[in-house]
Amino acid sequence: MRARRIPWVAVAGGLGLALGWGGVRLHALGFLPLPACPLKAITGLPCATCGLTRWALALGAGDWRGAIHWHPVATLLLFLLPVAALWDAARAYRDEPYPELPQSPWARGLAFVFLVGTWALQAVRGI
Amino acid sequence: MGELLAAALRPWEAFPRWAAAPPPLSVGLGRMLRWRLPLACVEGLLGWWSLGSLLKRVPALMEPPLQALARERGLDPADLKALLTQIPALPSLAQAWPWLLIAAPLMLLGAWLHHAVWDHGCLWMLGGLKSNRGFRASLEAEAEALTVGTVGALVGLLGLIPGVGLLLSLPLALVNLWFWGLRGFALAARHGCPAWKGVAATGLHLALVGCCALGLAWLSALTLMAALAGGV
Repeated sequence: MRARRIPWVAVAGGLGLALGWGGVRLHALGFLPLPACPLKAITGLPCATCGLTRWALALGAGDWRGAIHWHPVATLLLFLLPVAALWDAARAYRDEPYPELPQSPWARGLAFVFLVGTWALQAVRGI
Repeated sequence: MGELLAAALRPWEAFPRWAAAPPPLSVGLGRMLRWRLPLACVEGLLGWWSLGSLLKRVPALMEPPLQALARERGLDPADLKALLTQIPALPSLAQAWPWLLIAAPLMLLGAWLHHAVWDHGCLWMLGGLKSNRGFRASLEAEAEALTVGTVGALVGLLGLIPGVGLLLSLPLALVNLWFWGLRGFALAARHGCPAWKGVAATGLHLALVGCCALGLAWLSALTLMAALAGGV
């Protein structure tokens, strides 16, 4: 019998959450000192991932308002993660492959705008 | 090793040839692990030793570039110096080596997956996935490119030698850039798109997620200039 495909989205999401939770706990216990972002310190501009550490620490403290403030896009993606993981696991169980990415230039352009927009959002708000 | 060196120097010939009769993903991944894992362990151990040596010299080494930066940008030098005080003390190599050996395969597999996800996404944004060969083709291409990247990683070991590494940082950055773009040839061959789109996808990947590296590269260049000016 052929093995079913691996639900990569669900596995990666679960691993990411576990690693994030572990990191936050280690930080709270003083085992994981986190230096500030060197790019932000030098240029005053946030890097693409600026705000994510403070977002994770706020989540670890149960501070949802803080989490939304530090990284609204990451918060949105966190809410969508269980949906995506369930979708992926269900498709993997039925042995259905991942659907092809849409080839329309609009869809591709939208993805680009989303990535750059996320960064711009953090930069404009001075995170 | 000769085959890898030839592919590193002429990727536009090697990757399409390999893509004509591609091995299964498990074979490509196994080959990547055989070549890169021992090197990743050496990189981890040598990198730790090098980092420890660098951290001891950081306060003295960073003083001139931080002062220059503070003057240029009108910042308080004390704020920039405070950055250095946040750097945690590094445990000794004797304490760290088991963890480094555990981390090496995780880092290698993590880099493989990270490159595959971002390069696949960037190639899609550039319209290079029209042949619909799926994410598996990107995973295979990245495994192949990382195997060929053994050549670059071997050269990169020179950068981890304390003292020598700093002086070689600019030529090694060019080597890094070559092997970064080389993944594009592997991607293009596997997805059947023009090579420029594959290379552009790795460039877009760099632009989207590499701003941290850019900031660090700038700081490294300033440090290098200060070190050379001081005759270190």
